[in-house]
Amino acid sequence: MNRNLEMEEYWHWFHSLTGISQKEKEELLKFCPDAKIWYQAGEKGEALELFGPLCEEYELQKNRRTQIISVLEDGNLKDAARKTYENAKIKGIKMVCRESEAFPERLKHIFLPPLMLYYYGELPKENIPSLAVIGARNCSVYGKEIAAGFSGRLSAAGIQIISGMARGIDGAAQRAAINETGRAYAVLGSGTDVCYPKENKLLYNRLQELGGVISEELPGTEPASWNFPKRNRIISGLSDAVLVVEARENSGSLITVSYALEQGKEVYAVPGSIYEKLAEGTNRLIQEGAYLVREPEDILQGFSEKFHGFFAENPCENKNFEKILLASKEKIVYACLSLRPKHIEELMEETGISLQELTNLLFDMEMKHYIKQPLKNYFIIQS
Amino acid sequence: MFCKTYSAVLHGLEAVTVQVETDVRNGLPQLQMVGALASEAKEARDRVRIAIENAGFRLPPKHITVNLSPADIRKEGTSFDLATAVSILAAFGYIPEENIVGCMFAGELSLDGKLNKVSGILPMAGLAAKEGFQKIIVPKGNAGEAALQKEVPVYGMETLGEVVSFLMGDSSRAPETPMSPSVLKKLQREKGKETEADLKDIIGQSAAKRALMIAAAGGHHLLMIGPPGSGKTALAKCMPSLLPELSFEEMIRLSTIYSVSGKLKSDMDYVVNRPFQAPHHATTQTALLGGGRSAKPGLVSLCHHGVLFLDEFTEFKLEVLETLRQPLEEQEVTVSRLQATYTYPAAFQLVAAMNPCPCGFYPDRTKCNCSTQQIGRYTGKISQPILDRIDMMIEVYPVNYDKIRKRESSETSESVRELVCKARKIQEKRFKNKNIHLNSEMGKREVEEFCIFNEDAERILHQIFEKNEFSTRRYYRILKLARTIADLEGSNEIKKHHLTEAYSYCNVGKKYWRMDE
Repeated sequence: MNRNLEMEEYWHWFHSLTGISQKEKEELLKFCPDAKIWYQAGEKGEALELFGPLCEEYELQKNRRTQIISVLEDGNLKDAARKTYENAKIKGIKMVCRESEAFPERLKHIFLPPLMLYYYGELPKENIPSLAVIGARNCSVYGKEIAAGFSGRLSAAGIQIISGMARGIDGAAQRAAINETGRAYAVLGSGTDVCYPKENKLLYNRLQELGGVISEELPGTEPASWNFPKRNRIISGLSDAVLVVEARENSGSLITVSYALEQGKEVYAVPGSIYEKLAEGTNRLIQEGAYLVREPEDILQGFSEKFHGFFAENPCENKNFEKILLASKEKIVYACLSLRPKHIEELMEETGISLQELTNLLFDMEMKHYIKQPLKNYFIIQS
Repeated sequence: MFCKTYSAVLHGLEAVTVQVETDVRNGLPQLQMVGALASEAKEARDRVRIAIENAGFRLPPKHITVNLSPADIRKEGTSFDLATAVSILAAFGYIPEENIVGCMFAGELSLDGKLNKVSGILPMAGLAAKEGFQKIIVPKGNAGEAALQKEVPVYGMETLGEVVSFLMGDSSRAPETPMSPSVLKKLQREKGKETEADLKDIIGQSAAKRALMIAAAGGHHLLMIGPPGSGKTALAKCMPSLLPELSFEEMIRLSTIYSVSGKLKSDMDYVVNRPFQAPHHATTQTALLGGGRSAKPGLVSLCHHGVLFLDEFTEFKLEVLETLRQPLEEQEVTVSRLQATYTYPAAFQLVAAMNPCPCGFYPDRTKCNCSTQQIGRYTGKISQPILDRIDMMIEVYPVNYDKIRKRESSETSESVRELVCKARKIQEKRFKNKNIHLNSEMGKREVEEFCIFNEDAERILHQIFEKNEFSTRRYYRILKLARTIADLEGSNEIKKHHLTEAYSYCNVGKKYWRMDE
């Protein structure tokens, strides 16, 4: 039987062979770089011949080789792969294999590029600069505001934001970007049709619609802890640079950073207090040579060399907060606020304004969008 | 020979008259007691017989039958001992029958003939007044309590012998003098100063203190959220001192509840101050609501007219918290047991306290490393229906070192109480023709009628609405709170700053940490 399948299906089959490790698959592709040929050889029972003259030099032991060949020649696995392939198509999952033209150029050159990408929406565009924004899941309000503020403004400047759709920094960054321009892409550690974490369902839906949700894992894969470090190489791989907003020592974000460095991407980090646990990771990165970032323009400047002329048409618009028109008492209150959430009681002490008046002032300012209430009765300035 | 005396049995918070009939005739010498007796009442057989003999009276060998009627009410407790003894003595002719007419007896006997205190004397004395008894004889320790009703003369006795000699016509005894209202008022002041916490002892926390005042003024239930050690418990303990002093009727009502539960302490004949109950979070449904075999009042009734403080709100068992729905809604609680169904009053002010997250320090991320999931799960332990019944929600902020050092003088409970009383008077006047008393009890119709706001305020409401944080429930809640804040200021109209302040206290329910933004 010699049917012609779509290229993606051959690769999907190859990718779905759980009996062969990722490393062994890479070895096999060294002998013959096309999944289609392996598929057809397997059908005919000629897989052994593909090893060709190199066969004897093949470093795996002989019995392992027989096992691999039996997996390659197993017709049931091929049927199963066909079924999952068709299911994915029905679900509207798009697929692209490593050999395809549509495969992201950026990923082709990383170590161990994924065999397949499954995605909803679209893949990041090649000619548009992209930035990974990553950080702690249990982040502070400060970190969340920074992630959202930076992503929103950089997204408005034309940059695509890539992240992991996790809780905390990741989600905040993508939410801001998607609200701004819709250019946000998520790389998941689960199957692309599995929303994890569940509370980001809304974001997940919007990303599907406006940006893209990408995964290397087979559709339907549940989130498993060992998948996440692996997917981080794709996050950094799809980006031109990585921005770390808040990270503790030993944070998973630092894995992404090490991938980024391996892949030759720039690393930006937002500094924090040296006493702050959530800044230990980022401060260390800066110590080790990451760019210290104070405002979105810092990143734009770094990008402008590589993407010459790109930002001329998409100027980064800077809202000027210096010229705010506020009544004098409101100014006093505003001066006490920062990105660290302050409770109304704290403000009362600092300003000496009575509670009744203060609630009144804060309400007005909130309505004018100068300040925000991220938690009930805790206030920050709106960036 | 036959004789009968009167005593009373408790039925919930009410007392019911019990006739104690004794018949003496020839037959096998024994004492038999009948009439739906619980085991402790049955044991009276031995107590009474021995007590009578030890008091110096000899019982001839006769067949004695004692019947407690009505026979269809289960008799619990030991308060029939005295009536039984007197009834037997009268039947044997030690006391002339005409001397015990119009007399009610209650009290437990010791084997040596002494009279012991019993619970539930206050409602029994009330019953005696209602039924037209001429005197009531009780143990000495219960006399003050019984005298709270001022109609029937109360005689407190120490031994059975004394009772007999009194009934034989010893006229040297004077009835217990009931406490005059002015003495009571003075006692209330003194006791209050002694036992109630005062706001002035709490450093800083001015926002929380103001919230307490508003909660007290409008009777709004309050939830405090804050890190451990921020003073939530200390603040809650001040609550009784902010509420208006108990009126005489309230005192009687409360003392009745305490009397029935046997909670009147030996040095205290009646409850004069607002109670404060702080059950541990491992408390059971029965302890909280009332129940047990004889359906006794629970903690919610023991803090009737007072404060129920639930510390570590999230640690309470879910089903225990859910049972609070009825008392929160109806200000009373119905307890059903095999024997009977009782309704106890439970109009309390709820003050609850909880941490914002499992470790307690969110949103201070230098200390808190709880995941958003954990926090969501933690705050999510309280069900929406319970949250819906709590109008106010405040964050208690830990006091910093400077404040502790400076020890700024703060308002006293006394001065705050005055403001609260003023605001409550306004409410009383407002709701004169309604069957509610406080702003927190307003329904939709009352809110529409009494919460009049000006144009400025109207605009604010509109803005809050546009912020998409609005539900009908919150609309009414904000208006009710604003009404109380305006009352505290003596303003008839709700103004803008009343609304914005109310907005900052308003319970936002499960969206507290805005996890879903």
